[in-house]
Amino acid sequence: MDSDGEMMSDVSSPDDFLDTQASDDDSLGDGGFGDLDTGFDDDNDLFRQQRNPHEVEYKVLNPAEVERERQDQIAEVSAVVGLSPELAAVLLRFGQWNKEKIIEMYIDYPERTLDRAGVGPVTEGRATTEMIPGFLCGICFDEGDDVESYAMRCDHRFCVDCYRHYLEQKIKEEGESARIRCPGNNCQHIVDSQSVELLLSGEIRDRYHMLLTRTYVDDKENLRWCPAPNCEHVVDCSVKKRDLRRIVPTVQCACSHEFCHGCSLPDHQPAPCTLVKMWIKKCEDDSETSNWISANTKECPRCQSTIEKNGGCNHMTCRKCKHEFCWMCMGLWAEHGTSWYNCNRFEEKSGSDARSAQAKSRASLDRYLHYYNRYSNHEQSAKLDKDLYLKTEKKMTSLQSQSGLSWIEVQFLDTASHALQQCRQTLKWTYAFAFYLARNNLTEIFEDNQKDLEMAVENLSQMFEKPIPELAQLKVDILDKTAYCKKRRVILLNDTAENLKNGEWSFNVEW
Amino acid sequence: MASSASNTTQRLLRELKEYTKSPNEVLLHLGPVDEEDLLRWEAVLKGVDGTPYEGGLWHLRIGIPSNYPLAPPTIHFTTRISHPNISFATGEICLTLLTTEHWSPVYTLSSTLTAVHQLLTDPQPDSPLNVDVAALLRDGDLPAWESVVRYWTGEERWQGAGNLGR
Repeated sequence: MDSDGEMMSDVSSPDDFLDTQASDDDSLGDGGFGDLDTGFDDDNDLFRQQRNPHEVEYKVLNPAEVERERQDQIAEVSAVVGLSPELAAVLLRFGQWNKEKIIEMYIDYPERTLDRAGVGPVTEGRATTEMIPGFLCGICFDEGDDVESYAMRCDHRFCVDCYRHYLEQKIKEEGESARIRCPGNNCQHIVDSQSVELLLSGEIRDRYHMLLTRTYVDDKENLRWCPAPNCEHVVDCSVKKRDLRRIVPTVQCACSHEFCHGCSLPDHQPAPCTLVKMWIKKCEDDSETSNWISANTKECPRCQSTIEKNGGCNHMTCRKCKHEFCWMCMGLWAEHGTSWYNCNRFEEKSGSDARSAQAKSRASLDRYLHYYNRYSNHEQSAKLDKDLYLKTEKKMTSLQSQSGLSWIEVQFLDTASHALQQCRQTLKWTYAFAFYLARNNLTEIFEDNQKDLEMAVENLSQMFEKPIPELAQLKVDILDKTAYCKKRRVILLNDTAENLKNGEWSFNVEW
Repeated sequence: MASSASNTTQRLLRELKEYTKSPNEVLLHLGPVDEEDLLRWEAVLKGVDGTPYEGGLWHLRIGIPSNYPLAPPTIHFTTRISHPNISFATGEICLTLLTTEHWSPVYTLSSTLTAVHQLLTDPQPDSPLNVDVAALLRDGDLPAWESVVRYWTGEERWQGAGNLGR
């Protein structure tokens, strides 16, 4: 399968490009073409290591790395402002981990900042539990000289048992960590990690730390949990919220789940987050019911009752107000005289306004359904593709035994199946995106790209349905079509992403 | 959490003892409904002199969670009352103190009821549960508000010392 030389020689004939690609398993992956500089004209870009316009820079972190990053930041702030790491951590959480802002605030107004963060005046000394003569716990009302008690710097003292129960309740039942306040009445003091370390142990302490890490990720704009079930990874991507109008930051986690860093939904390129939300809402809403009503019914010109005409002549008598009118032109029936069975007064003024309003809403319903049908069709197909994927695995096994191909050699089916799913996902969202696009020259290009990708996908999908014995012979063809699909997808995404970034698209909605 | 149940019982017994020793002047009564069950209490709240709630008496039902005092009790008016932050139909009370986030284990049932009593003199018409009476207050129609409150305070006044504990 060493096809590098072969590829180089075929470069001169761009028409053969796909065959060349297909003959090389590696070309299905993303890497490995960094050095390939010649030939291919603009296609070349697609296979270089450098980022495509539709891709963003990001980093996948495992839980240990997140924790290390968090500790580094705490250590840094602790060193700069000269507070203990526990207090620095409380400050950072209060300031949503904006290091620079926190340091600046603390240096300008140390006391006020500590106060607002729930740290209070800093005194020396480590936290310990104490036995104080004549102590009475305000929670359980236990008293005695031998009762072990604890208080933070706010000096609200409770017995260790009550403090422990209180913390357990907050951590276990309420899932709190960074914002647990002193149990005292109206006390804003935050329970720092040192106090938790002192009072709690084992499982509950681990849970506390886990929750702290979680709030760290939740607080930081550039970090996001991978939404895939049971995945513990965090993706670090610097695309800001305000940039989401121009960028669709799609990332792939180490668990291979692809999602949008802006909104956590599964990969929805090329449509930007806001439009995706609008579209999902529109599809869920009953708003389309009202569209149907306005498209398929008319209102009585006098009492505005909604009427659906389900047969009979055009001479309508409203059930409610007995108003008589012509269904065709919505004008008064009396104007028609007795002999007008068929309305030929089409341009009569009394009805033209009502008619144009209805035509408009009918057109808008048609338009929505056009996009929605295609959107949901790809969604359905993508679901079927999941079944297909499972079947693929079976096919691969039987292919191995029937044709004597090795495991590596049948991997092309897996690659093809994955590409198919990915392309359908993209296609699905192109329809939601297109629904919100105002027509212009760019949309023509967009629709051409969409059409090309759709054709490529359907062709590949077709191959996939072939009986197993034929699959081995079709390997080259399938590889071909897989590569082509991927290429068409990248072309489409790059084109839309670039236009989005440069603000070239015009939309038919405000967002 | 095996110890939490006994903690709760212990604390409630102490509260009961404390209340017998120094009763709360805003209350006519506070104690468990049934001696067998320490998690269900009842109270009778007195009106506030010099306000439209003057002379009123209201019966309240208090449910205590098994992890009390770490979690707040649930308190309902069983006597109907006309107040912006108390539901006329269900007797539910809208008071931040009674939410999990703002509850502190230092509060006792007695001090919590003092807070409910304070709510009578200090209604918050901007987050109403009883929209009708809140609207009167918000629109500044004090005479109307007063007469509505006075009417219900008299009309619904709890009357049955004999019914306590039933």
